[in-house]
Amino acid sequence: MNETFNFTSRLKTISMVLMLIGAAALAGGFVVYSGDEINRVWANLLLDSVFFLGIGMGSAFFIAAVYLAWGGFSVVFKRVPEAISQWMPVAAVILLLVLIAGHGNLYEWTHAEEVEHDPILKGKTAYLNLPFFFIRFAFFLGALVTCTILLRKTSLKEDTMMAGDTTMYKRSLVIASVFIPFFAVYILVTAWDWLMSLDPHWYSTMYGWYSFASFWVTSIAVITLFTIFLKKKGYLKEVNVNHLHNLGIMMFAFSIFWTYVTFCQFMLIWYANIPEETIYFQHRYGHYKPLFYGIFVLNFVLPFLLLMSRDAKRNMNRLILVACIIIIGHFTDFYLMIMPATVGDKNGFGFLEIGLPCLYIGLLLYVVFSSLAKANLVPKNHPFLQESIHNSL
Amino acid sequence: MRNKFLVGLYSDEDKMIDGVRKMRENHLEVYDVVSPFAVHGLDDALGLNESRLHITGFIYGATGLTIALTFMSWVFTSDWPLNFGGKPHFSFPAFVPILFEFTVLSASIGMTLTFLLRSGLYPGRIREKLDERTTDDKFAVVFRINKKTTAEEISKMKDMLQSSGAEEIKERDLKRHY
Repeated sequence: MNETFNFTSRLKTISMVLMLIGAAALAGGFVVYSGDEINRVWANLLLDSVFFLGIGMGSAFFIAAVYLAWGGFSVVFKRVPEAISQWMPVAAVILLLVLIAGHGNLYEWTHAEEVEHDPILKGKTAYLNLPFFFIRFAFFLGALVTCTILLRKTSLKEDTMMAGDTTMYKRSLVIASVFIPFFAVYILVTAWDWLMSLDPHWYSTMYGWYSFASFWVTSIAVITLFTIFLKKKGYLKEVNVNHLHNLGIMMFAFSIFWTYVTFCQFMLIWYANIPEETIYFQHRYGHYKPLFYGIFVLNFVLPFLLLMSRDAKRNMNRLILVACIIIIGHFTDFYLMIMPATVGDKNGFGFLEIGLPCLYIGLLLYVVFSSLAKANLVPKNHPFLQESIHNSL
Repeated sequence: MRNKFLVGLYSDEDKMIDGVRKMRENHLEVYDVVSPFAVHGLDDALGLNESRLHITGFIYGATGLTIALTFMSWVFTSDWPLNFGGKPHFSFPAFVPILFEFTVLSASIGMTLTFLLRSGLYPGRIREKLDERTTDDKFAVVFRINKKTTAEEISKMKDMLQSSGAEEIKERDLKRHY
């Protein structure tokens, strides 16, 4: 039961190299795209910050949701989402910096003189103004980060307690039940603030669900990838094919959930055919047509067909393949939310789009691996540990 | 033709599962297990093949999808084209909810009927009960006894049932497969 992850120097080098590639791409972006095309750099920074912060938030939500549901299946690999959720504070700081530095380039509603001449934006100033924007950010993300750190602390403390002591488990339940309402409200607010206000004249009531579904399924894919990675490296001996099956089911189910909310948003707007609503899809259809159809293939058709059978969900290589498809697909999904509103027709897929995620992946790997190395890989005194070990499907 | 069955009744499913495992290890062919609820790990212990019901589910779903798509396309494009707010006659997004519902409906009804037919649960079927308490709190392990079964084997079955914790062992004479 006692096993600790060894953050080898090879892994350290890999994450450092990724960070360096990313930093070089970022610096190169600022040089190459200075002037008129600078928006492309800011849009990419926003895209990557939001996407990777979403992975951290989704993992924290995974832990909290499993606690509140009294779930047992994930206890043996619980340290994996826990470690990924430790990435959330770092990602939140990065996003805060990006927003502070880049809000003028990204968000139309921050330009006072433009808002003055725009009755629609003027009507929205009570909500869309910079002080309130950052207050929301600090208040909600502060609460979420605090809860995440506390959840991690209680979980680590549980290892040092006597066997059978459930004080820490009960405390985790309390923290998780504080986390969930904040998350429920803020996951909608994030969608409005960071993404929907890129098109400030447009709104959709499905948007929060749409981006939440994306965050959530991506997080599950990332958790799956890390768990399989550890398993293939010879760690996490108690994790067996049943736990992976559970993760496969969640990826499969939430891919369908994503499709459901995405299609709901699209169909209502398509049906009603009101110009101020359809403009959103107008921007995403013409120039971005391959991506518009591509995300349905990547995020629905492929996961649906590849993960449908029971054997597929119990096959590690298949899970790796589908998790990668889902991550790429949802990255594209966020690309499609952000790019048409910020750079429009001047988008592209060059060194910046490939290089910049490397920076975030490198940082993510570094944070996750170092948090994994800090604690025992399997929680010792979690009351559902035995249930989890004997989990069968 | 009448069939003879040797039935052992358990009131603890863990004892029953352990018993079944042991019997199979000792090369006794367990004919069936009847239980009031689905017992985890029993399929494994009995060495049953994976159910093929979900494959039929996929086939029924795909059939339903095709039928719905064909029918709607035919109705809205050639049989009775109507103008809905200037939308094209073949309006795929508007079809999607119906396609989804019809797929689920076909798959669920098809799978249910297949399951009932395969388990022999069609109307008019009269079934003799193995033991009424298996619908309440007892788990029954069943052996089939035919002409080839030797007395030695029967006593071995009884021994195994007894030693693994069966509370009641009896022979049943049923008209058909119960």
